[in-house]
Amino acid sequence: MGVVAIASQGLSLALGARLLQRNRSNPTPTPLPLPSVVRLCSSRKGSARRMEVLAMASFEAGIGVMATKLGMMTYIHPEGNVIPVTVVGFREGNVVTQVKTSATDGYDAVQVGYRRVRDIKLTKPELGHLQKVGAIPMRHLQEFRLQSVDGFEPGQLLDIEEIFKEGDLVDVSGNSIGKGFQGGIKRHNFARGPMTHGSKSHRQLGSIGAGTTPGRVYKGKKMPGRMGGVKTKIRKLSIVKIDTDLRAILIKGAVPGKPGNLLRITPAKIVGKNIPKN
Amino acid sequence: MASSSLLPHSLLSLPTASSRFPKSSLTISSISFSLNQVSITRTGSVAFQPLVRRGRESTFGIARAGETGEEETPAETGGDESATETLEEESSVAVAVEEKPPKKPIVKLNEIIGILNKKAIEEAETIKVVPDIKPGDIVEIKKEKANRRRLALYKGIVISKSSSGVHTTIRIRYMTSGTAVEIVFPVYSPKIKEIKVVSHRDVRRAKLYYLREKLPRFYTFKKK
Repeated sequence: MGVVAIASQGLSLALGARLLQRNRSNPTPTPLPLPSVVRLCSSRKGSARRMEVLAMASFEAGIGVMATKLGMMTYIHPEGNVIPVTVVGFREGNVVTQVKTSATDGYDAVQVGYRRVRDIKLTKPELGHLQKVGAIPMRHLQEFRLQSVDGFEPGQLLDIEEIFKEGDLVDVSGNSIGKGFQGGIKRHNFARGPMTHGSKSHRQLGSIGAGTTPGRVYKGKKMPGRMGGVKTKIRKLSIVKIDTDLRAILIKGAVPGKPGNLLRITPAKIVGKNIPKN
Repeated sequence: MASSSLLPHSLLSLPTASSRFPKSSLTISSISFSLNQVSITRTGSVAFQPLVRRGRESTFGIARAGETGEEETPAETGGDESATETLEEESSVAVAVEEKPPKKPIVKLNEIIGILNKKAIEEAETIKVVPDIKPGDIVEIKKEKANRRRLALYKGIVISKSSSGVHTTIRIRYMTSGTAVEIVFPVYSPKIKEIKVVSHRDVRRAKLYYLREKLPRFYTFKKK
């Protein structure tokens, strides 16, 4: 705690910088990681102090790609069993646009672009950022935070066949379908009240707390509100088939969103196997 | 005229790539990329003519090198006036064609599921030939059981058909030992070894769920 107190001024600066660093395509900003230990490096230039942050947020288990959900179909396995699969396609993109290192940015990450657009659709700063590496104009930019970024250069095309193979487990995240303002039953799986026997409460919340003690409703009490339309991650889905001619992947099960949705596919993080250690 | 009619496709794609024509190097490189993605149409070539000419001069080499597949269809080259022009273009085109291998047809993202279903159906057809089935058909189905010993035989009336690519299913209703049974069969499943349409009953519906309220003799069939 003493360390945090010393670095309190610098901490607020770093927090501000992190908030501004939000990616354009991220629907919800990733939760701000609270560093457990913070080392303050004084800079001779006198401008914003560099923060060398240790013990930070989660890493990816490996480089991932961005993709588009195309729909679902049935895949008949050669052995005869039938698997429900999601067909995932790839637009023009998956180009490395920036490689961040701890020396330059304070953490190691690979920034990847996806989905080609007309250059009039991007602002000049965005175009300039992509022109710096000679990449096509792309709409979405996402970072994959890794333990080490060796082997990634700006302008590199990420090949799906090299990163994933059939039988791999992946985590797929994307914006879920928006359901609007929903009540307790749909949103939090509450139970209905009786429908007959003179009951006047069918779909209401019921009781929301105790009596005089504590005399208030707890924070976080499950209540009606907006449901869906947020970033959701489905873990440990297996890749059933990779089709190289059509540039499509068949993933077992369902993924968030409707057809046309942007997906972020990363190798699955399995406890005991490949959770990266700090 | 001939220039626009010869290359309506390659030049039509240019406006969609960028309205600010060859100003930045990025635009030109993006045009050659966009030719891969943009679908090629022949409509409205007249409207784009003024833009067409300017774009063609500056990006002639790049545009042409990509369009090797389209060279076979010069089609409406009505221009007698620009006959010499066409000869020049074709000779330069011929050079470009020799350098690059033939291009694969562009697959749109929304066609991929259709193509995958077609491929899966073709594979399934190698196991058995699937006849055309309609509601009201009386069919015999031979299905492989779990222990892979004998093939089970089901004979009943098709009361509904749900078409969805490789997971097209039919619902069979029949009576066995005093019990009415409805079974859903995925038509292209490899476990179904034979489907044979035995006869047909005239019905005026697509889904024959009314048979559930009718007398059992309407869905009882003798297996030979």
